[in-house]
Amino acid sequence: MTKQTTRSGPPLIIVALAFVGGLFLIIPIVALLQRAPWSDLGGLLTDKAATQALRLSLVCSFGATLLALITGVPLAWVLARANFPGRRLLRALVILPLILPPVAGGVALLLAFGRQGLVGAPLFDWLGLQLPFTTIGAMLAETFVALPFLVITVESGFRSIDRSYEDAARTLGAKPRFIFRRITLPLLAPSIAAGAVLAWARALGEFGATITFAGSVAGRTQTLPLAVFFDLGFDPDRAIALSVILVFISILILVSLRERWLTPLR
Amino acid sequence: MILDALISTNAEEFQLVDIKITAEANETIVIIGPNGSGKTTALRTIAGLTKLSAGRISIDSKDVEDPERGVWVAPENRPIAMVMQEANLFPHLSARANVAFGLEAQGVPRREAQVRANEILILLEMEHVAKLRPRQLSGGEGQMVALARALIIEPRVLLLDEPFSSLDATNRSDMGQKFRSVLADYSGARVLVTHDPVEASSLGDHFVVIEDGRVVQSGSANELRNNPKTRYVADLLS
Repeated sequence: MTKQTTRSGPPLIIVALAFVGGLFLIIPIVALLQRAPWSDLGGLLTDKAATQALRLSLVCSFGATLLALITGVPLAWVLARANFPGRRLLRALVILPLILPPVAGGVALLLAFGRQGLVGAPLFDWLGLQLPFTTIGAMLAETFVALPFLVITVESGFRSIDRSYEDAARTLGAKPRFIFRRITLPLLAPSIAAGAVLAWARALGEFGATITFAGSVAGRTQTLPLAVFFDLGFDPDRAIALSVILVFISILILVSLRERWLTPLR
Repeated sequence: MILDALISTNAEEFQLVDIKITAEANETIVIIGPNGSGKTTALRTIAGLTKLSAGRISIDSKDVEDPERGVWVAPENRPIAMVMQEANLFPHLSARANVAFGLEAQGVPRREAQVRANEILILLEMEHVAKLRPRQLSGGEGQMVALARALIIEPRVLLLDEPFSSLDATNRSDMGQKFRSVLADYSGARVLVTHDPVEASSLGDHFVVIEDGRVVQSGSANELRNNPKTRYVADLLS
């Protein structure tokens, strides 16, 4: 049913520019899909190098998401609810990797956790632990860029919870732990889920920090995006096939977040 | 005497100075005053949600707060329950789970808590809403569920913060009636905050009138009516 109103739509020039903007976003995806080697897709994606990259990507991105959840939810909690000097500064520093070019993040990680790094040197000297050019290193690079997404999403979740629910629970005799488990956490769940999906998507697509900090060692640190980049030179079909995989994963993410992104704000 | 409180606080936007509130079993104390006089803050201090800066609160002759002696009992350990202005039912739980919440918080097994929640809902003639979520309830139903949720833990002091303020006029008198009959079976002390004189005189035994964070007068309805000490009190009961 259409509403009968006398309101006029946007002016023609706006419609035209919107059309150009929309096309600009859509055409590359279409180009990728029409050029995709659909008939060979099965073979291209099941060869050893492709499955290796895919498996590595899944391991690293899920690992990074897990690390982000374990540290990010408490971080969001502290930022949203604790009162201490320097809270705003801490918040700004936590958000920084969100804006920082990932390559610079990779260099920073190298200087922190590399063999001669601030933390990396003692780690190597005392424990023989080495992070760069390892799968753990790739996971950490992804965590570095993904964590802020989780933190800001969950922090705003904490802020949107009406504190009076928790107050009411206290006056009903509930201890803080019980309140967290039965009131705060369930109310927070949608934010945690959205934050985790965002963080996971960011980790999956990570390129700059990973290649800088962990390099592109096949089977160890060469995740899907890195494989696409290095395949493009000598096996474009496989690079395209892997890109198609990434597009499909993105569509899946979009669908899972449809409540949040596909419905306009009311 | 169940509740014996002398409240001074400057922890919230409303300062309170030497508010004396005492309540016996079966007694309803009404804290009444204009908007912004600090009534809700007084209630929150009794609940332990806002700290005293001076004074003392004791329930059943046991101090729950005495800043001079460093005594402070957390809200969850005070034998109180509070019904807030907007009902504040937990949005993700059914009405029955809301009512059962206080029991489960005390460690009562879920099944048993649900059974007892059902019983109290039947008592309040609210069993038809047991499975509904708070957003599906009318304002009046929400308040009855909130009352059930508070009464189920058998508090010694029941704190009611303008429980009818979100209801329209017809609902109000209905609910007032129902509330009164439910409260009649409850043996603890009640402290009701309101700015509505009709509500106050229909539910209250003893009145504490607060203006600008201080008690300007306290007594029975008759005492206030016969000898009003401020313009507000005089207008209130005229």
